[in-house]
Amino acid sequence: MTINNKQLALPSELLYHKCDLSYLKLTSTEDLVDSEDVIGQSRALEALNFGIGIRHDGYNLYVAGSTGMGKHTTVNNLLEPRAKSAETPSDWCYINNFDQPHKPLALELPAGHARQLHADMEQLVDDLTIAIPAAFESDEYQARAQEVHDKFKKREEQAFSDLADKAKDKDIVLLRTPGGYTLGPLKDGKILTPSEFDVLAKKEKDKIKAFTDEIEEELKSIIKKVPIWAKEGREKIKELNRELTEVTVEQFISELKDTYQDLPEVLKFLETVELGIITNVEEFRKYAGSDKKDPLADFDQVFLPFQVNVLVDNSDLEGAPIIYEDNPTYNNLMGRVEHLAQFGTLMTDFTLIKSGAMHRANGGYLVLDIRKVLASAFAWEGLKRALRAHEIKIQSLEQMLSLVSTISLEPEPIPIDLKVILTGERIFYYLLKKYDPEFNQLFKVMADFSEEMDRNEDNTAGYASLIATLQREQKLKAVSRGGMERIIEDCSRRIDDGEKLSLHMGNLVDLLCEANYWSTEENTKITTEIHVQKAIDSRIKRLDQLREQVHETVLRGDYLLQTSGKQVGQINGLSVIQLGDYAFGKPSRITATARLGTGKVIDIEREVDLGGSIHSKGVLILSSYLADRYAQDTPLSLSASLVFEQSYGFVEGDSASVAELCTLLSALSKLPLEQSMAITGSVNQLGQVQAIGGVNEKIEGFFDICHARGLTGEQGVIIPEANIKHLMLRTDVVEAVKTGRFNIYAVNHVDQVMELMTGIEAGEKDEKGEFPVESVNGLVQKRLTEMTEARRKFAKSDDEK
Amino acid sequence: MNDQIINGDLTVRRILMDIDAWGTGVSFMQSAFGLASHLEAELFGLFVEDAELLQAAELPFTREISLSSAQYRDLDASSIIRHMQVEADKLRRQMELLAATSKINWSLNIARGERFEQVFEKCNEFELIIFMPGRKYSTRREQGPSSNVKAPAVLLYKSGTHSLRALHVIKLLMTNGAFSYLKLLTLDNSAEKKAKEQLEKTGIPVNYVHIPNTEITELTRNIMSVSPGLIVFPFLDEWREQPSVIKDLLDKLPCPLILVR
Repeated sequence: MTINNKQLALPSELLYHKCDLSYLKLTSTEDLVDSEDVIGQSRALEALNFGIGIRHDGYNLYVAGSTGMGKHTTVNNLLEPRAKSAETPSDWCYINNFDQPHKPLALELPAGHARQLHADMEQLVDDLTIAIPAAFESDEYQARAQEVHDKFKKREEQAFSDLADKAKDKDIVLLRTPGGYTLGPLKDGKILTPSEFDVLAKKEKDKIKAFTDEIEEELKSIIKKVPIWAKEGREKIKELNRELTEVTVEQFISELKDTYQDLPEVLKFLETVELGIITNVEEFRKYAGSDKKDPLADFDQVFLPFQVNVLVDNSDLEGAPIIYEDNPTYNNLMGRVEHLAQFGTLMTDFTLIKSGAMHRANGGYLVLDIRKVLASAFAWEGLKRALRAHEIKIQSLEQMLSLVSTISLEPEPIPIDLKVILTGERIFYYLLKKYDPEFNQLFKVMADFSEEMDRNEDNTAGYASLIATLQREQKLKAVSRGGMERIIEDCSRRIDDGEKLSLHMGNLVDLLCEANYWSTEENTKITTEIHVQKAIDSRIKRLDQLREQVHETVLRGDYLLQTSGKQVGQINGLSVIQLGDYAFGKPSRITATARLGTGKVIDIEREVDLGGSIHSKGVLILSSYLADRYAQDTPLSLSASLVFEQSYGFVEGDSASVAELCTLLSALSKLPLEQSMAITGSVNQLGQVQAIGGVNEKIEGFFDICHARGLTGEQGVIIPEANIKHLMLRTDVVEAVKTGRFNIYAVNHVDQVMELMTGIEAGEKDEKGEFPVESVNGLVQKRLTEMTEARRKFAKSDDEK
Repeated sequence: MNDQIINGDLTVRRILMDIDAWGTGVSFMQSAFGLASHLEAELFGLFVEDAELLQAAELPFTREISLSSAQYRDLDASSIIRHMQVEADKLRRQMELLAATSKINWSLNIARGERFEQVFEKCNEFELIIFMPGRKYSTRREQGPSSNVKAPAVLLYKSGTHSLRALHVIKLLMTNGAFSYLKLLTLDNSAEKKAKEQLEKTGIPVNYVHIPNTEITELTRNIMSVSPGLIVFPFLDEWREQPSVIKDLLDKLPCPLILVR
């Protein structure tokens, strides 16, 4: 008995969920005010507000959502007012540690003071390089220094002179030699010649020798004292220098002390500087008037201990900082100690310590992209360590990994109080949650951005306002009402749901910009639906090459696909090929064969490892359906094979399971299936047809092939009834349906599909549990019974043997 | 030469520079060359090998006590002579270098004997005799002021051409600001007045001091009270008979002395 199931055909009105903004009574975006609300993200906003507001340990945020959802903008919009009203955090500097120069000290200052202190210290050095030499050149100092010098010189000379006098009394003269002194005996004021000495009596000679020895011993004793006297003289000069420096430096330092009197840490620093200058006063004298730019003068190195390295300067900041680190490497986050190559050696000092994003965000907020953090070696570990310890310790990776053994700096850690906001995809959140125990303790708040929202009147109105806001933000032309409607429709189509709206801001902005481009090209004042459509079409066109090639293989007969006639055990299935953010439908021929067997349905894709587990699940479900429906009381005595013909890639998903079941039923019942139809949908064990994804692309994929071959009015696509709400089909498809040249059927049970595909009633079980003989199910049951009987016979024959 | 003086000729044609065998400072020689260049005079360096020392070195028990180690070392005349020759060569090279820039006539003469006697013997041939500072018992080789402060210069001014020439020399030496001021020692008001006339338009700061006599103790006291950088004295008549006075003075001086004839 043939039936007509045309009532399952969908009217064209259901194929496209048109947007109608007439209730807003507007003509373009100019009639709308800017939207201040973030639409469709109430859950995320609530979480964000909570996460930003709570100031307890570990309440850092993870903002989850796809790229282009507007996470950064939303976070920034929420942070800005809160940050502005917050207290501006302190400045941070590194200063020289005069006791342990390799361990620079951190200095916290009220905002704006670091830069001032830096300038003050530079000025101090400049002043002192003039004032100290001037003080040392003063007549007073010179006179005192000369006095000390003369005193010690005189003492030395006096000692020699006294000894010379003493020697003279004993007729001995003290003489200078190239390297010291010697003594010579005198006679009548003249030195004895060797011959005069020789003729002297032994007693006289012994006397001279004894005197000479005595004077020599004294001379030796004086010479030994000379270095001691010289040292004493130097000490005296040093003392004098110190005294003079103290007086000179104190004048300048006391001015600074007055300026920073409320900052005890700075006063402490100034005291160490004062001491440092007094200790290194010779450097100030040495570099008096030297050119700062002269590299040989090494000016910077000499006066470096008195400098201030401003690590964080918040002088221009109003409120708390919001730092977005675009390149969150370990060094960029934690700061680093740079080095300078000097004569082949790497040198560093505390002025080469550079701040990281965490330093700059201290007292405020640090926004990071989790993907980039995880992709940077040790950045994640460094971030966690700092958050856990509440301080930033600048340590080079080379040191951490023991790659270098040279002595480097160990800057004093800086305490931190900041909120870290990570943004990224959900997958990272869940992976970190599962595999990193510290993540739970440090990132306790998740703000989950919705990908879509309901397409009701309120939300659509909000969306229209959003379009207007973005249009103005991007400085684009106004968009007409029609343009807005088309944009909203496209936003539904993007997520394959006529009753939902995509919240992907990136795509929305792109579409607005591209439509604006076409509008500008056409020199119109306003962007209309025509420009929006052109933007959509041209985007598809740009990405469409592979689809065209695939369809061409079908149309040229390389890929076998019938769009007319009837065939047993053969059906047109539909699949979707996803390429980046573009997807298209591809019809596929699915065939089935059935024979006597033990109830096993072979999924050929699975057998050759080209089928995914979800696909295999679908095949197993249809085996169960067969057994349940047709062989409850008897063994299922068939062997069947299912295959996607000419498929050489991986097949995944269960959206072809209805098609596979129908092919198998056709193979069993020997009823030919309409080849002008294609089908998509998954099936459960009860034969119910379930929703699938990519319904629009699938329909359009088959439509394009049919259209190319010529629409007959018989062609169409069967889809699950549950997918009706997802329909957002292209205009040409809708138009073809409207004019009866193409059909789309919505079904909820496999029986409906078989009736549509065979034109024969599926058949219901009667009271005896049997299907009508001529129905689809009756024929299937009959064939399975025959198979069971045949199997029994085989079994009996085997037993007899 | 005397004629020139009588005629009021203040020209200086020849300068005698006394050179210490144990280290005449380069700065001292530079000053001497500078002065000679200024006066367009010929510079005559005299290096005296110490005969006393050589004699002493020949005695059997003589030994040297090192200034750097306070240890005894053997001393013999030949090594001293060798050392003196090395020093003389060194001095000659230094003088050659200095002469190259100053373009003056110069010579270095080596004599053996008692240093002061040798210089004094020759002094009649020169208008200016520059003596190294005495400091006989100093352990430092470089003589002169130790700090970079500008020291004053001291001038003894009496009436007579020698004094006038001395004033002429000191004016030249002070024009480049090498000394802070001039301490001018005079015996009476008339000398002071004459000196003032000569100095009034030079802009040289002068401290006039009257001294009762030119005895060595008086001169030394006045010199040592200011730690001068240079002393310029006219060659006094009384010193001609008693040159040992100058020797005693030199032993006490902290800086070069220029005797002007």
